[in-house]
Amino acid sequence: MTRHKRTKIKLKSLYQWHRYIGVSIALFVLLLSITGIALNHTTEFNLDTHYIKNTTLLNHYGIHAPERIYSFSTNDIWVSQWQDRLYLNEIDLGTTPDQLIGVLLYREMIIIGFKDSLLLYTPDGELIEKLANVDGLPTAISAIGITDKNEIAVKSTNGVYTADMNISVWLHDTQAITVWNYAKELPDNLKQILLEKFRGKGLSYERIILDLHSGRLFNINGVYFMDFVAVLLIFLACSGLWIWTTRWLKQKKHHKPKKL
Amino acid sequence: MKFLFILLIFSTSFPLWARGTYQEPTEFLAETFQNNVPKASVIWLSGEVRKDVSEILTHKPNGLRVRYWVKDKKSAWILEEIGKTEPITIGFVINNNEIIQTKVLIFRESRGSEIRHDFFTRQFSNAKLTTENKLDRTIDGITGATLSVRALTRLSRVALYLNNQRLTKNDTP
Repeated sequence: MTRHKRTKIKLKSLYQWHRYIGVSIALFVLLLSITGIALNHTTEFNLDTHYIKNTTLLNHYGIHAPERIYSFSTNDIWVSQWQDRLYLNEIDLGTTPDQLIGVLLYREMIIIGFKDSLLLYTPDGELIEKLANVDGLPTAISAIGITDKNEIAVKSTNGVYTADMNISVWLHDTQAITVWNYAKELPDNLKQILLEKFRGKGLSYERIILDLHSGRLFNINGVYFMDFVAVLLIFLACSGLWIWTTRWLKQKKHHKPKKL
Repeated sequence: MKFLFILLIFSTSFPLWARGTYQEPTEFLAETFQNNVPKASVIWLSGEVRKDVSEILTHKPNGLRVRYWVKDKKSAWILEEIGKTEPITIGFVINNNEIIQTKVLIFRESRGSEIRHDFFTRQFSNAKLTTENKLDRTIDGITGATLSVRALTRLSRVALYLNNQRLTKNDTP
């Protein structure tokens, strides 16, 4: 077999590999390109603020209800904490890292208690104010309640403190007869509604697209598979360049002007 | 090479250093009123006041009422505004409708903490509000801290505006 023939067979074989691999991974190239574009524009496409509601996917990611839900009630108003997410009835109030310790209805304000702060809300869920240590609120609060004089009371490590009408001044009160607000089990129907809401904010579209891009959606095997696809893409780039270069050199050789 | 490596470590860890509590709000109040902090007063952000504050902030205020502390003619305000993603806590002391002190108390953003420095905050000294609820002067920005500068400037306007409202309210018989 001549050298020319051997090169031709080799090139033909490389060309075939290039063709078959190209066809095989075309779908993955499309997937990588589309998800790549989407990831480059997460903010514009609001992918980080929109959430997956599909139960199968949520289960796949292990997004379940938290083991412990903190819930308190006053005058048919329910405040519950699901991990760090806080709900006033069905209204999502956002996240807070502090643990919920009670809720009160005081002068048409809903007072939500935490270890070191109180959040004051309107019944519509609009924040009025956040009270903390700087506002004179005692620290390390374990319970909140209403006294027989209709004052807000907090139980801290140093004793019971009651507030004035504007909740501006806190005084140590040893005489206060207080009805403390204790945790209660959420009603089943509200729990179900909140469970759907909570799970709905657990998985963003951005996360799904990112995991689809990296293959992580299909666990570690998916990652290795995408690595394999990447290796094939590298091969395609190299083989494409090789085929093109050899053909270009060949054409150049054939079209060389003959010497007179 | 070693120097470049140290420089790289330094530059990547710098944003973490930017965050911090520079002064506890309670300490700020104690310092302002010489350890004799008056009882807090409240101002409700409703009606026209809410509209004006929303205009200054360019968004709805986070809360329906704001606390302040006043003694003689001096009032102290501790306000929060988001720079880029996290709230910045800033303390203002106002006397005779002029800012006499501006202090960044808590900075939670990863960048832009340069606004805490005296060279920047002293630009607000004696700043007043114009009739259009703007500062009577131009505040020079800091490269790389644009959003934090904007947040602080907006809050200074809110503090002056609310102080004016407080005085108007007190003047009403």
